[in-house]
Formats: sequence, C-alpha cells, structure tokens
Amino acid sequence: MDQFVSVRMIQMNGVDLETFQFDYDMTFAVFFMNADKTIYGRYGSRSDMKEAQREISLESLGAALKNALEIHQDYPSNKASLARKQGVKQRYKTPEQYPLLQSKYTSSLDYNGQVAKSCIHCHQVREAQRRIFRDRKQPIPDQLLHPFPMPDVIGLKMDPSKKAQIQQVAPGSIAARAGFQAGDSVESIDGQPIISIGDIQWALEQTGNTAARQVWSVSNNGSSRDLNVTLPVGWRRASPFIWRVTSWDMRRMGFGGMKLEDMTDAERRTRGLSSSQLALEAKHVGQYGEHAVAKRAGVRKGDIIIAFDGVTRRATEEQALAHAMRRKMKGDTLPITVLRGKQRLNFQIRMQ
Amino acid sequence: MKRFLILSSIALSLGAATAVQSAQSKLTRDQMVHKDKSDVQRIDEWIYNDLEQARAEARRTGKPLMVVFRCIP
Repeated sequence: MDQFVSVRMIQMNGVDLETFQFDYDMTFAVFFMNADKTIYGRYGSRSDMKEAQREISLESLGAALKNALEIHQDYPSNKASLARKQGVKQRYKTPEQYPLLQSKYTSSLDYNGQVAKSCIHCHQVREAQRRIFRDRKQPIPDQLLHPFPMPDVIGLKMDPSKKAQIQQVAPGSIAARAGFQAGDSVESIDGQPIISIGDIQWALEQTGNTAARQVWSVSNNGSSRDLNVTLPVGWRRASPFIWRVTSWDMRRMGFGGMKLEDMTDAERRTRGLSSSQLALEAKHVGQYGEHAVAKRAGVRKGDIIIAFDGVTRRATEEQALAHAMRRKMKGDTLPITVLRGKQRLNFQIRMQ
Repeated sequence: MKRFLILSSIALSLGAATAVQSAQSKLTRDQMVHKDKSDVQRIDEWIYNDLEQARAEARRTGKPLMVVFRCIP
C-alpha cells in the first residue's frame, strides 16, 4: 500500500468519465494507474444486490496491487499492451453534464450544506446514460442493459480469493468449447494484462454484443497456453442485470413501479397455473410519484400477471423487463392481464 | 502501528467492518459523509477526494496511483 499514492473518491461529481469507466452498479471500485492517467488495471466486481462483497476479497486485492506494481515498474515500455485498458470516448465528459443530472448537481460536493443530497452516486451515471435513449424513444442498447458482464457469461466461475483464477468451467459453455480448465489463471486477453476479475469484465465490456473472437492467455502449473474464445451474436444478453440497483429505475420505466417474481412450480399448483405459462406475481407495487404508475392503472400487490404485452409463455422478471426496455418506448402503453383471486383483469401500463 | 493503519485503510475501503457499518447506520446520511472524511483523513496515507492532488503526488514520488471509488451508503 505504501508503494502507491492512494486516493479515496466518494462521489461521481466532476469525475472524468472518459478515464474512469467501471461497473457503476458497484459501490467499491479501484483503478491502478500512472500519474499520466494511463490505467494499469481495475479491481472490483459485483453480481448480487445483497452480497456486494461476494466477488472480492483482501487476498485478490493484494494480488492486484502486486501486479499493478509490476506493470508500473515496466512502464512505459509496456504502454502498447495497456492501450485497450484505457477508457473510451463518452457522450458527456462528466456526470453532471448529462441531461438527467445537470439541473440537480454540480461538479463538487456541498460540504457546507446538504452534502449527501449534492452527491452523484455511481449508479446515477448508468441511469443517466440509459435515460438518453429512453427519452429519445429508442431501445436501450444491450451494452447499457447488460454492462460489465461477469466471466460467468461465457461459463467461467472465478475464484474470488485469487487474482483471476478459474474455479469451475460450465459444461457445454463457450469457455468449455475454448478449452479452459479449473485452476487456469487468466494472464492476458488480446494482449492486455489481466490483474483481476474486474479486468476480465473490462475486456468483455469492450467487445460489444456482436460475434467476436478473443485470445485469452492462461497459465496453470508453470505452463501457459492461448485459448480462442468465440463470442456469438447476442452473447451479452446472458449476463443478468436484474440484481443491479439501477434495475429499480428500469422497473419504474417499464413496469410502472412493480417488482415482480416468477412463481415457483409449487405456488403455481396452488393457483391452478401450469409450469409453462406466464405467472409473475407483483411482490411490490410502488406507491408514490413516478413509481406509482402501475398502482394508478389499478394493479395491486399480490396480483399475478398472466399476459404481458401479448406474451403468455413463462418468463422471468428480467426477461419481461428486457422486453419492455427493448420493445416498448416511453409514452407507449403496455397491456397486461392479471389474476386477482378468481378474477381476470386487464390494465394498461404507461411506459416512462 | 503503520501496518495496522494500512490494513484499516483497506478494510475501510472494502467496507468490510460490520461494526463500523452498524454504528454508521445510526447517523444521518450527511453525518456519515462528514464522518467518512474525518475518519479517512486521520489515516495520513490517503488523499481524500482530490485526484489532481494525488496525481501531483504520484508525479513527485514516481509511485503509481490507487484510486478507490467508494460510495457512502
């Protein structure tokens, strides 16, 4: 630690978004970099709302620190290998320039006033980015709907206590076809050095959502090998997003403020519903403001949605929300049919 | 003592100290923000919320930067 200059940032106000690009649904993210702003690596991963620290550990942070120091010692002779680790051009240079945020926030915190209210949280950056498309009545792009995919998306379960070591390879997955094995440590992807699971996410993040190939270099027991990873069109859509704090804003836009849950087979049997049909129970219905659109349309907590914009086959909450974000634009109405007791009721949810 | 401070600062960054979080939950959000600032500034290894100062220090010392983004609940 004392070999680094450490800086703690608690806000996104004024932050250079063309440098600091990370998974904004995290509450903890680390960049290792040179004073000239060249990024050596990222640390920090998250894949669950409640277990925010499931993918991180002091051990893996220590390993990332050690690797970052090694990269620093070789800098700038290794600068070419770091080129793809750098942030890419953004629509707005800082968060407070986004239309959603510009009237409420400035480039700094108001320590003399309501300091918490003056703070732009990380997740608000992602919400502001999505809102650009929503306000233009355009589908939210997959890269914003499924940002920073975990390596699980290609079938790799990583060991959170190690730098970037594979714990399990899912049978039949993209990773299994590429030849990964448990115990492999990811050293580089397309030439860029990997010092954390977060770095793997960055390499995936930069790969869009079209068909692509990457070369992953791995080591295991002193030997190393290159593996060709083939990403099919739409690969990113396998990356879950419903755990994200920003899904709350999407539930407002696409569900009118409802939180839904796919009923279990046991629950379905008690209601006479088949295992193949749509049955999303409204576990929460927003009560105030823009989160109360479904309530004002007539939906109540406990209602079971059995038709959603014409879809009646079984779907998860995430699949329904993705449908609304891709196919229903702001101002559209989304028809739903719900079961309430023995009644079937039809409602129209206005999209925001 | 220095090692303790270094480990404390990492734990603070990770937000792993449940007792600290529990105590903080009784504070208002504004109080938590002010407390975070005073807590971290007590550990003199850390620069608080000032990236340009940190870059200047990195240039002066030749050390790399570790930039930690940590939201306060």
